[in-house]
Amino acid sequence: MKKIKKPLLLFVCCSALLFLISCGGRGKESPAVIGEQPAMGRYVEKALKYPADDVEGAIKVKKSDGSLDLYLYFDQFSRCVLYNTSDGIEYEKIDVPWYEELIEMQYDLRSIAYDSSDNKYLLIWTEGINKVYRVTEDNKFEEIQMEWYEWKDSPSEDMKVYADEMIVAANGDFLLSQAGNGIVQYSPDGKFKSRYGSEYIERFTFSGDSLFIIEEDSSQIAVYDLNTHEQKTTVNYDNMTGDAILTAGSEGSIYLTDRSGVYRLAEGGSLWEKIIEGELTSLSIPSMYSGGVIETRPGEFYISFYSSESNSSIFKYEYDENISTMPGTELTVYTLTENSTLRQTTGEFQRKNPDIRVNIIVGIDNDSSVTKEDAVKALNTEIIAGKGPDIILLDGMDVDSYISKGILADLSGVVKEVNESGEKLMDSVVNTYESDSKIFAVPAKFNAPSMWIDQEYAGSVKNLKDLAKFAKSHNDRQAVPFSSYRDLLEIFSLSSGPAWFDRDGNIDEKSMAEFLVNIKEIYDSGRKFNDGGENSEKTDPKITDKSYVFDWAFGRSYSYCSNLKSYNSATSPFLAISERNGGVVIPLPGQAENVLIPVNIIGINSKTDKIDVAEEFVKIMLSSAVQNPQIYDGFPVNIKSLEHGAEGKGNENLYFGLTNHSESAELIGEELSGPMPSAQELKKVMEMCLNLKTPYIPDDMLLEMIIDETEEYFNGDTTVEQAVSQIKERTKLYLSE
Amino acid sequence: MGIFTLVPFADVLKRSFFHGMSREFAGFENYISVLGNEAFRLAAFNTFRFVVLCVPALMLISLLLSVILSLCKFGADFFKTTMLVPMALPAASVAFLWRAMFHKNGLINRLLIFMGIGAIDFMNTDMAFYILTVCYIWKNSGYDMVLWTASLSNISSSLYEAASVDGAGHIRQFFFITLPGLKQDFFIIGILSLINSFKVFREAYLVGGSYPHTSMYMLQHLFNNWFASLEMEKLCAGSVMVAFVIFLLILLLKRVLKEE
Repeated sequence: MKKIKKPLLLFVCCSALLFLISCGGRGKESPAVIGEQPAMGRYVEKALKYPADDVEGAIKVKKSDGSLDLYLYFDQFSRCVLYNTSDGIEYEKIDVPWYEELIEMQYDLRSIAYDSSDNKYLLIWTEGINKVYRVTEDNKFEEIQMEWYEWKDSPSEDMKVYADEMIVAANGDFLLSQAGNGIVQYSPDGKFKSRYGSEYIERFTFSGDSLFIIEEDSSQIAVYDLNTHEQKTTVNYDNMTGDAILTAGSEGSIYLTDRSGVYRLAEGGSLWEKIIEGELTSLSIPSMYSGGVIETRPGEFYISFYSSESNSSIFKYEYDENISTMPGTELTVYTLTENSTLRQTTGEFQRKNPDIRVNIIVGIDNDSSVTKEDAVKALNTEIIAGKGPDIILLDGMDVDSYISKGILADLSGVVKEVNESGEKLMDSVVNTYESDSKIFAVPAKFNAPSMWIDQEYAGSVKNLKDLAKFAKSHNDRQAVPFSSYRDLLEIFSLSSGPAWFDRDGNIDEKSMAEFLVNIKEIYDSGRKFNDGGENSEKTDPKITDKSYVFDWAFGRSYSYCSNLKSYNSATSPFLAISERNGGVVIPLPGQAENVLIPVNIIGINSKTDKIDVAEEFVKIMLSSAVQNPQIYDGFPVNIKSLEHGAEGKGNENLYFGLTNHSESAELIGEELSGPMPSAQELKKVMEMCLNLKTPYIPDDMLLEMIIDETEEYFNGDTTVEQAVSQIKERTKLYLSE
Repeated sequence: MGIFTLVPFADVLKRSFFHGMSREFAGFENYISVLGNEAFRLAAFNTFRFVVLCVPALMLISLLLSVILSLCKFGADFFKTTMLVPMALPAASVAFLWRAMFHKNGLINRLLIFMGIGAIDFMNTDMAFYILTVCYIWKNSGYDMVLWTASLSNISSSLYEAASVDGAGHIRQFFFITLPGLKQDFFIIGILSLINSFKVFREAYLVGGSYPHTSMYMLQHLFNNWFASLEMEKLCAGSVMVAFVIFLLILLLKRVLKEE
């Protein structure tokens, strides 16, 4: 018995090992594989060409014959042309004489709706009141005398009747979304019939005699009977992203469109069927906003989009039974947090590569309790096991460690190709992780720490030392607005961080001491102006809070500092410049010169077996297709896109307003308002950006340690030498690990 | 045991002789690098200090408690249960309690300020280590006490009766009957206490995060941070050294007990 025990034990162990080995390490399979045969068929997106150029906006209405009427706007919405199409290819141009009349009368067209006989109805806003018109056969207006249901608690006279969307139900009744009243139903002759839902409901549609409303908290969809005016039922609305749009479909169905896709609810049904996958279409692109799906004929869909730059586009979705339900190849992209540039890239990549599915894995989901450390550890486990993602967005991760471990592939070829394709990239940004002519990670965007100050002082605050001197000599107000020493450390760490370390990566005592002394001088010169006196500290102060821009705009400080993340974030300081009649933007003074903060840092897993596809993804990320759209998470690294952004396209008709919400009663009500920055103004920001040369990745952990250890120094309880010594002691472990 | 412990450990041992992800042979380079690492030296020292201080203290305190409990005429079960409650508390709750008590603006500091003594930032001074020590003993003494009680019940009561007849008091009985009678379980309780001492990391981590005060910085902190920054070669070399030291300690303990 003993003789067979040992071989038996060995056999069991070997079998178990073999079993374990065979369990892991399987190749990735397409998610939509049933047995050996992949599931086939899905809706494929096809970009349509508008019959005219420079379309600024589009209203699309389905006609009873299944064709589509497209109202296209041009020349800053001063001109409108109607095109009818049955297939999205051939268009018939139809004049819209009544639109010119509307413009002449300075009427604002809010909504166009058709009834079941294709009669046209217009919802107009003029001189503070709404009007509904019927367009007659001879293209004349015929006003319908509406018995408006008013908003009792309206904040102003203008808002008593304020409708912005109208549809005509199957029985000819008008359904309007009215501010403060939810959805209001009027008879065809304008008589009030009923109102539905809570005060601020805007998203609704109808099917037959049923009205569908997305409730205010987006928790579910309420279904009402348009005849009895009673609520019939509710429909579950889980697992869908915000900003969903409801539209009516054929055969009593309704459709819901959001960034995750298009869903269908059959007549009388309670479950949503996903018919178009958002991730495989333009729906998931952050810079594009859909107007909801329109089903012209059963199974034929159109979605029009408008972009952040006021461009309009339209796509057709057709079912292709010869294409697999889910693309067979999957490219996995890992990011710690949700990222708009990544989504934008995915959308563009998906358009060009419909046979490859990009699977974005978000490590820290907003709804989960996963910490950053947990997420990084989980990713590292995958990488060690050889199953890591193909592409990693490295923001918030230890990029240098990944590079030194050989995890990231060389991207110098990709950068070279993009540069040679005529889309020049900013060397100072893309070379952040350059070593021995190899580039292991590429920041796709960057932030620009900047200071806004009067022209006359700009020359005298070239660095932190100068600024400290300036603060001392100009102590009649704050040199830089702040609430606590923490504010100052946070902002000036961005422009001084690169100077803090010696060659061995340890804290440079001299440089740190100099930093603290200078910040203390700025702090001591300005702390008396804080509301609560010397010890006043707000609960969560951030120097980049917009309220600080009011301090500069209204003369309570000599400057305003911000970490500019896009052209859009320069709007409030430019409004401050026009309020105070002067000011320029310069790189934030610090111990290092012209610092920029690289963001959206992309790297490719060196172990990926899809290196070509991954490189294609990175190329798209650096191309103008992704870099041009304004998605506000950084300035583009692509110089052409940086220049394109400075043109301020889409800003022409926008007006921006900002009110001070300060806790101080005397400051409440301060207002900054005006048009968005002009191209000339944005060019100054662009010029500053192009001069930034020193990349610096802020280290939040290190900064927190410095803030903790300098409290006593800023309170005057310790000397600068003691503070530096405390910082060295506290950061010793962190830096020596 | 072989599959889930020895095989992974063999992999760790192998990795400790190679460079990170490149699988390039490094010889003892990783070991030299780890031994030269300031953070490792501090973490090893703190862990050693903690073990040397806590394990004997815990064993002694829990033994005394179990002896007192065995002498209790009434309510022994109640006290036994009470002593086990800290063991059942989730680490997060214990950490929360600590924070509430020892924070700069915590309960103890409120009391100190009320008494006219200034506030002390307990968790950012060397006191943090001693607070951790007290927490470990508080949390584990109930468990060790139960182990000692089981061991005590194995000693025949007739020995105590005979000693009483011979005129031996409680103290003489303890040293000449109880202690020798517990010798055979001393080894296993010592090993369990040693293993439990490593679990105090959970509380230390929840209170101080990845980088607590230097006095509380343990090997687990370092290994945790190395894993997060993918320093696999250092992590493996460090783990092998720690395993080797623990193995030596166990052998030493075994030999000492055997000789006695």
